[in-house]
Amino acid sequence: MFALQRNATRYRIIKNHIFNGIVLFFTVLALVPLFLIVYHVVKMGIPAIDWDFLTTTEAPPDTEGGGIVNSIVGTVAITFLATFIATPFAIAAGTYIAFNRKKKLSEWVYLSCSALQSIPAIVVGLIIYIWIVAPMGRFSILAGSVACAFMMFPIIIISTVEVISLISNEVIEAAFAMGASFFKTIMKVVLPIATPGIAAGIIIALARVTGEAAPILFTAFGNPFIPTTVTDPASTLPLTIYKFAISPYENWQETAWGASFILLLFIIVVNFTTKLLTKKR
Amino acid sequence: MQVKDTFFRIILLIAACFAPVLIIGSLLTLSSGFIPAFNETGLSFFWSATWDPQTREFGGVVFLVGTIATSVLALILSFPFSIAISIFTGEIIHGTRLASIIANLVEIISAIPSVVIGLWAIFVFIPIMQQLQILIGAIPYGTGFLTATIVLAFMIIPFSATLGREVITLVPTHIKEAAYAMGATRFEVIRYVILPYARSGIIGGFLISTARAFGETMAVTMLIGNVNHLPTHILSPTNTMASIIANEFAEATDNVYYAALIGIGLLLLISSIVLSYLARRIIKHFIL
Repeated sequence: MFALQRNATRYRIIKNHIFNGIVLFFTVLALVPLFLIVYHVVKMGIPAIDWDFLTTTEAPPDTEGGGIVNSIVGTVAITFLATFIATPFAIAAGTYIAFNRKKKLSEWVYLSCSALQSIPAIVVGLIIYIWIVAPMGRFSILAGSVACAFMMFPIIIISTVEVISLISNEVIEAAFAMGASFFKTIMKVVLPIATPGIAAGIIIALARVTGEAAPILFTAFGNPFIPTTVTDPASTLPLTIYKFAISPYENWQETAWGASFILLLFIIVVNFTTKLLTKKR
Repeated sequence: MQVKDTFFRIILLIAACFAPVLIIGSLLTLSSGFIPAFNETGLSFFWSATWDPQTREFGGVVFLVGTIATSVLALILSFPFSIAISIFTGEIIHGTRLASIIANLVEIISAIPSVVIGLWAIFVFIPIMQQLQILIGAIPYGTGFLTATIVLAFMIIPFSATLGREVITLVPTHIKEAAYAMGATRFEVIRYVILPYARSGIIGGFLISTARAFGETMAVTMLIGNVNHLPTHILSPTNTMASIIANEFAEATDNVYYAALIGIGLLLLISSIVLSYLARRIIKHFIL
């Protein structure tokens, strides 16, 4: 009788060990592609990078060399312009929700933000094409920026609402009790406290759109030269990687690896710094 | 001062209205853009599997099937991995340094741009698939339905794994400890206490992953083969809603062709929004 019970217990323990082993196995296996991707991007990317690579524009297909400076300029221009377009509206909208939580409209705005976040990037590109590119009659940095701003907008709203809700009510009420107006309270008390959190939200949104090629495809379209005005078409790093990766030309493929290394490095560094910054507070 | 305040409140209100306006505007824009194609094809847009710009036949079924099939299969493939990561980091080694390292690594997966994953897959993963296809005697395309699906499965792991871990850590400690005190092994606690308790949250996480997979464009476009036929075989090339738009929109000069692609975009928009709305409802239900 006791022997039987011992057997049953041993069976349960063995089952437990097997289960632990399976869980560990799948966890490790899921991370293998991540390491492989990073390994190959480093191995293929670093040899492609030198001073010329960072300072010349892209080469014609099937030649030697070529750089990515046109894509870097395009990426920086589009992401910065997108941030300037999205941020003021998003912070204002987030402030509205944070101070009118009970209202029906806030609920609607919040719901629309989740819906906006779930719109696939390629559809955003399609919509901005219809709204801006078609009426203007040309692809432009402006259109690309609006597409990216469209994607950043809900992310920044949601992080603004979260950060403002964390501010204790006493601080806000103290300002009101001193006779400060709503405007003064927001500008001098609420936003200064919330700034680091909102900044983190903006940076996360920025890092996300920097890596996206889909919204750029039909808006900024790509440009082998350095754009000079916001109405010029432009290339971005992800767009160049996409075009060059599917091309049959060796020098373009090399450029794609080099550009991937730089893009990946940028995104990982940005993610880590925001994580460290938000952890400290 | 009173006037300034009122003015300020109105500005905030207008900014807040922007979000619903964008959603409604997008829906209206795409719907009206789709009308020329709808007039031409009628309802056959939703059930015809022929997509031929030359003969002006536009049926969206191939892409609808392509998107649903890749997403569902990717979900199934990713399931054991994301659930294992959730259990491992949320319960077995919860609270340790290793757990947070693994969690961070998993989050990095979601931060890698999809074009970089696509580039890697073209030069590293496709050759492996070709070797396998030669081995089993299939035509070594390399690209195709299965290739795209495996890469997609890898890409959606972080979304369900992160959410799964969060829900698992939300299971009240006293319930778990009650089970441990009864002499249950860890496997039994996970199987009979934690998973049933966290079930709806985990399902919600998987729905969010599916919504992600629906909209994933670049990596899939680079790997699926871009052939506008229904897949006859798990290895055959086909197409999805997102990748047909990425591939053909720039060259759609014909009015009806252009409108038909906008119709595909509308279909994709509505299905993504509905999916993620359902996911959020389920998660909310769990957490409250």
